[in-house]
Amino acid sequence: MKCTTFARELRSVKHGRGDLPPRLERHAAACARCRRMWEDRLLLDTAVVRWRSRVPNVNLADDVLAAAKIRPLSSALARGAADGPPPSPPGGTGAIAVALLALLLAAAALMLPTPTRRPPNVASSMRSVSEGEAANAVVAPSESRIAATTAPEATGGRSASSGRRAGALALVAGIGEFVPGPWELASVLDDGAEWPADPAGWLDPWSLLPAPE
Amino acid sequence: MIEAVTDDGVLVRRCLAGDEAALRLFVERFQGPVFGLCCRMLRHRQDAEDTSQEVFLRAFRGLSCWQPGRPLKPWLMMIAANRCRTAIRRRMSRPSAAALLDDPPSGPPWDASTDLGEELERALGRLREDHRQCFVLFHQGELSCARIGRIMGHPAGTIKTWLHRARRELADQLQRRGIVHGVRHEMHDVRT
Repeated sequence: MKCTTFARELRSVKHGRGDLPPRLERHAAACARCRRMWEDRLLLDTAVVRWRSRVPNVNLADDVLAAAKIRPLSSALARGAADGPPPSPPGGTGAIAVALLALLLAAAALMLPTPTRRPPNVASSMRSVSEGEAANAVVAPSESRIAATTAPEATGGRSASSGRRAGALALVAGIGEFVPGPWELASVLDDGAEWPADPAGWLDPWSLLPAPE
Repeated sequence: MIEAVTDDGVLVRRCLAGDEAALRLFVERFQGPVFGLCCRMLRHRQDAEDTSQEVFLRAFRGLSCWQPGRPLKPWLMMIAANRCRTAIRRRMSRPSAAALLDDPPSGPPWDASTDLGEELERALGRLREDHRQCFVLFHQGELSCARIGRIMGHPAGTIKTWLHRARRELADQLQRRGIVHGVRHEMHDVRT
């Protein structure tokens, strides 16, 4: 056996995932140049087997199920209960509509005249703050263990799902679990209706707001 | 009856139907490899437990997207690998990193009683971070170079090169510790 053949065959056997052919061992015994490579390989394979067996035991079932109960696993499980093809990635039509509505309402709130300020009720404010903190204290530990996105990350860091999560409407992420990217937003908004040729005929969103007094 | 479920597809269908026993079995079946990968990647037990838990919750949420014809374990390990990398990035942005497992600058002199796995873990701690992650994902996560490439955002060829360099560096480190000689004797004894 040539040394190049030895090296090629040694590389072709997956590390720690198969037995090394005896003919390779015979060549390594006769060739001082290849022996080092052979010994390195044996050493690493042995070390990897022992290294993998050193993982401590753990029992996660109770914690995982408890966390899953605190926040239901959304509609994914319910969707899957029905037979049929896997659903397409969640569409953003509803979320977009709600988001646009929320933005319009926020803009309207900013445009409305500011009501006359009253002296703050310090006692009730303090009570509500402490109640809020107490509620956070109850929720935070469990929430911190619960993932925030719906899609699994099994498609890799640069997948389309990652792009969706980093969508332009991250501002309204709390409204829906799925936030589409700009390209999806364009496709959602494009409902096929023709726009008037004259821009004067376009709907002015500000005209929906109440006129300032 | 849930103990009889050996097929991943059946298990997933039961999980999707909201069967709590099936969810428990799902965790128990895969917690070993998932926690093992998290442990090796993060080198911190508490972080590994938290991340493993997060992996299972994400997997439950994405189960309806899993394609029944495909093996379940690599799909789960991909989620775990991505979560671990996110946790590592998050940890690096913290002002003070938590103490890591088994990371002394150099251990006691090697002798036959020293665990070879422990020596390898120590040597891994001195590797370049991307080489270390490559090695762990391949050997502990049992992921292919193509999958590791997708996780790490590099071509499979780069991953193969990194793996090769990691192995060579590890072998060199073990030899510098004088381990080759001892293991050779040990292997010789096993063979004879």
